[in-house]
Amino acid sequence: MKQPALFSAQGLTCSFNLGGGFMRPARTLHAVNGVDLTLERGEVLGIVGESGCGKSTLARMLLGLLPPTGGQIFLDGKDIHTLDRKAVARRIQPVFQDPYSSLNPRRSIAAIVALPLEVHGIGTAATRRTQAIDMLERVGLPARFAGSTPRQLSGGQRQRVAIARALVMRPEIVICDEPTSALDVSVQAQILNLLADLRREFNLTYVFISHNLGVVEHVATRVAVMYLGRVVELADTARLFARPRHPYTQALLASVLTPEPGLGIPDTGLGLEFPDPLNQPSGCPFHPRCAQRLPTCSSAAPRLITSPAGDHVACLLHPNSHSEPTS
Amino acid sequence: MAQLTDEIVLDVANLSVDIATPRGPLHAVRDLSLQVRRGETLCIVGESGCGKSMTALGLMGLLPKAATRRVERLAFLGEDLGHASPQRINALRGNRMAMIFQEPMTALNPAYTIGSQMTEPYRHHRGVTAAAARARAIELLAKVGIASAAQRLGQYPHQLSGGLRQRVMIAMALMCEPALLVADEPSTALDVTIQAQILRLLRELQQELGIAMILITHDLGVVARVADRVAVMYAGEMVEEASTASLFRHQRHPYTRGLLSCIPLPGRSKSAALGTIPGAVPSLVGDLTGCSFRARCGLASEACAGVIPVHDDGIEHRWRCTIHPDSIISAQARIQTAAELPPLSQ
Repeated sequence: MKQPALFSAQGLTCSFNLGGGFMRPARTLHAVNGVDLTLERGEVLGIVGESGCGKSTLARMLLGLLPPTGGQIFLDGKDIHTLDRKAVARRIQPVFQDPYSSLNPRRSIAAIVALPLEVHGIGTAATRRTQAIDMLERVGLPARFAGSTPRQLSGGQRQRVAIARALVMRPEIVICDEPTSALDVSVQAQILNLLADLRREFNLTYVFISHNLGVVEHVATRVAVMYLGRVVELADTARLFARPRHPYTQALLASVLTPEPGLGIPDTGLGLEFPDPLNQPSGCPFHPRCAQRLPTCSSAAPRLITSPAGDHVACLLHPNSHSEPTS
Repeated sequence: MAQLTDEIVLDVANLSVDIATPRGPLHAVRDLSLQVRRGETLCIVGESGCGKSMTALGLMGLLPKAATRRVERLAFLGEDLGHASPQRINALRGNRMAMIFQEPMTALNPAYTIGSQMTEPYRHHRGVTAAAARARAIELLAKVGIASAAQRLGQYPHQLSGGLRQRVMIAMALMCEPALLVADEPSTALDVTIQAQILRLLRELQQELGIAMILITHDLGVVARVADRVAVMYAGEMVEEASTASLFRHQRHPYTRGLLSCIPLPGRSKSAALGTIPGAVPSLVGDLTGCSFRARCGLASEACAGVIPVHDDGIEHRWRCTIHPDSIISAQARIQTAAELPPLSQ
């Protein structure tokens, strides 16, 4: 019998009901629309997509901060609803985008990092402080910072504090939601290198959410591409970046401006209409912008199909996407 | 493509901007000199706090109240603007000198329609009829690729997506046929697929209309694809300036080299750590002497605390560093080799 995956999600859905107002009907926003994911121990699953694609909503559901409106999340094959909330939090920890708003401005760095231990009732105040300072040193903040408050630190140092707080519980899974987006590129590089070192040191598994494809390619072992709440392609990082199969992934990769002079600015041919999660197109969610669309794309929604190598793509250009996959 | 002529649209010598703070003046921009020619794009690149936005605002005369500007020469099409009256600046700004801001949602007025915001400055500067201004607005919206332009004129900013709003900003900046366009991070708030389209459009229009453009960005990818020339700023100073090809072929300043090594690139070995620049940007309050990068520079020596010479390799590639042009490459190579050796403890 196959060992269950460390962490997985099945048919995960999240919709928000937007209350109608005077003369306005109530509407439903489908932020995440049936996402399946599996996470094996030690891997880094990158999740990329543009604003409004549902990647942050997905992260909040995986962290248990937002109840899904549909689907299930499993930890070691057990539905996390049946597990104790604190026991789950001990194994899954977050690092958020903005280290300015995710740290309590009135507490010292050591107290911020020790807080998870306090919540879980681990050790005494003195041992918690020692553990916190030890973890701060491992993320590159010397003990002299322990008494500082967040406002005395730079953005990069604050993000180190957020990482120390996530790791002080010795979790197995860390969910990083745009951990370097608020940082300058030289500081971003420091944080990415730190996350890579810590992953080896503590044998961590990451979910790494970012809109920056260069960053995701650098850190991830597998990448899921999201569009309007759905995973449209999920593949091994090297294969995805070498041979993207979904037209949206192709356009996304073509849009990246690498520092290579003389190449000019690519024409992605995507048109102007940005996807609106409140007003989802019929059929394939990407078809209004797709240069390779078929007549059937506006009516038939493609299924996510699996290739022999274990990669997934949801596009009618690929055979089997419109029928039941043959086994 | 427009012809690159030698006509200098903007000529700036020794621009400095100080911002008053409780701890004394913060030297946000220090002795910055630059020139932009007709049909040319100059990119100013640097990290947050390096003074790139203050440079843009200083050039346009839009600095906040707490800031003071000193400039030796600020010539726009040969006319001295350093000592021009506010009336004269107002007559040029939004007319022959235009600006595009980073976040179109905050730069556009939410209470007015696109049409009234586009036509008002045009009528003010040109004194034309409402109908003529409206026709010009429709013409420009079509030029930036907005379909059914006439209907868009009646819409409010919140009814447009981010990419469309930025197109409206570009159309608005072009209304009065500017000779100079300053774009401060015009694509930063946008998604990558939209960013590529906006930059492509901006570049095409700039070349077609022969506009001199200053594009401010933190993204070296944008620089490589858009710029004719690049100015790298660090801690309020220009540390390196070169043609785009020359800068990306051989960066002379250690900061520029560091910045490029930090970018995760496709195809770069994943096991290799990214390059980093240790430390953080120094405080710009108080007396500043020597090279402001020396505390973070692997090549720093005692000379870096003194007067920093500006080198010029003869092909308009200039940089501000104590290290002699011939020795910088070998010194950098030496440092890299040392970093690759295994640590002694193993």
